[in-house]
Amino acid sequence: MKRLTSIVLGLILILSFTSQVMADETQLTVSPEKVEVGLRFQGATLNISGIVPDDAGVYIKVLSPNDAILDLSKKGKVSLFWMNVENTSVTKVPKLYQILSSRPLADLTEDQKKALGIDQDFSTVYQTAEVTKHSDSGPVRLETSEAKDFVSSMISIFKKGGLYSLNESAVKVQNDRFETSLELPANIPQEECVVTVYFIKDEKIIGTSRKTFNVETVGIVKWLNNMAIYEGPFYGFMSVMIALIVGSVIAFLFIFFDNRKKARLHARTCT
Amino acid sequence: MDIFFPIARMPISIFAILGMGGLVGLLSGLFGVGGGFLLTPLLMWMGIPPAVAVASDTNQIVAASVSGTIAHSRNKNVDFKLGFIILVGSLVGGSFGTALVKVLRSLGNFDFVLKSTYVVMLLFVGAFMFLESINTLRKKGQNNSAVPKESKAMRFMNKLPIKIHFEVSGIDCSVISLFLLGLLIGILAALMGVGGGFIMLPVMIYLLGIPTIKAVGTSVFVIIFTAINVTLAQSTLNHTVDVVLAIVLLIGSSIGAQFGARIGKRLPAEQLRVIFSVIVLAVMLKMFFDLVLQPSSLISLGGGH
Repeated sequence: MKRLTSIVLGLILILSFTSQVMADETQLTVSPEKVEVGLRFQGATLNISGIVPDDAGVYIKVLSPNDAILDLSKKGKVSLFWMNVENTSVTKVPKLYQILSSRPLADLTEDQKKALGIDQDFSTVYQTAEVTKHSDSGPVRLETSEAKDFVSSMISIFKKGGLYSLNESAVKVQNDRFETSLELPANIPQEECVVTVYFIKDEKIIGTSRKTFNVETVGIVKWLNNMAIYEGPFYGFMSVMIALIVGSVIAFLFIFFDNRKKARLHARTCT
Repeated sequence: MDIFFPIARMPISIFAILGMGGLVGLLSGLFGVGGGFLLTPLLMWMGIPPAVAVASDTNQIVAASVSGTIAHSRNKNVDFKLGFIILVGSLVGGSFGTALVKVLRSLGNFDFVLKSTYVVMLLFVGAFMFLESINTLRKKGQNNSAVPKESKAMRFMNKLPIKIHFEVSGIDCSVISLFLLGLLIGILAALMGVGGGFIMLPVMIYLLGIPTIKAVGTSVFVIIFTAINVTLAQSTLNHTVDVVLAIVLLIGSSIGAQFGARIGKRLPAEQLRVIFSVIVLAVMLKMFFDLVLQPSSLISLGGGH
């Protein structure tokens, strides 16, 4: 057991060292390293660049952690009516999944696509996703075959929101450098995202490089997010008080203007 | 000008949200309804997650109904005493209704029973109000009364004990019957997941015999408290109230409610009831078609009304 542990640890060390060396060799740059989400946030542009080793094809994957949760309802026909017949939650999936490349995905073998998670169907998501059905007796995990439709719908929803996308000609290679820019949608998850670059030549991976960037809320957005999550009752009280005050202030403003109008009319009739 | 809404986690045009709030506030001031039936789908259509749309909408209803209540009370159209008794009943009914939902769910097919009942109820209320108002408008030359004639239900309720005179509404009514009506409104509101304005207004007009404009003012007063209750529950349990979204909505809706109350004052009661019944029937038709037509996608985002 000790031997196995030391082998695994050794492999991890070697892999992380290799990755570091490759990152240094390819001079992978991800900019900005921190995306700030404030009240005027409309999305951001992420610039990715580096050196291409040995005239290889560049395949980039941008992923958020596998921690998204999405509630989905399935409609079915009950008697004459179309009703919600199943309520589910899809978990253990990334909310952001972007694929960019300098060459067509067709240049990769099917096994490579699956292993690297670089394919137009986002097939790795189907492997990691967990779909739980909410029933009166408690949550029930769906089998992979049953879960497929829900995962597929989730991918469609994320694609529509710009969170999942594939762009085969987005990476420009000139001389021995590559560069691309990725439009991050405004609904990007607020966590650490990973940019992985694969360099592939003659169907062989000749290098991999990896960097992260952080998406963080700032200012009032951060304050309100924290309050809503950690201080729910106080946040609710504050929301109610704001509503009561604004509603009253607007009503009294209208009364004030009405009275002024009446006073003016009265003054005119007196004169 | 777009701003990023922190809980909805997306940027939307501030003017679009203000406009939507204004439209819903106008309805609230005119008819004494919360307007959630209209605003929640509109917000969802703009891409806001259903749970956030429902919770933030309820938060803005607090402001619109306060604004509407102040405007109506200035015109002496809010019967606070009567509203308070109905409110107590509806809060008790709400708790009872929530427990009832659990029981019905365990029996199965609850959603089917609920939705079909909702459609039938809206059809009944809308058609009844529409026909009654049209008849009253026709007969206006012969009979100028704005209040509908006394029904069997009204006669039964008038026989119940502990009668009080309500000066603002101009009716004598039993406290017990008001409490029972509040109870019924609370149960229905909890069962159907709506604020209760749709149910409250016809009940006040047809079962209690309150003049339409006073029923609108009193209904909007009761809604303040039901909306506060739901906002607090949503913030504590689901963390889905987007206060920035609610503020923008409520600025629009509070202004809209002021205009609604002013327009309502100028419109004859029968016309007000006709417009209201048309809206009820339109919502009923939308729900009916949603139920019978096959949706374009069988799987969609969960949550919402």
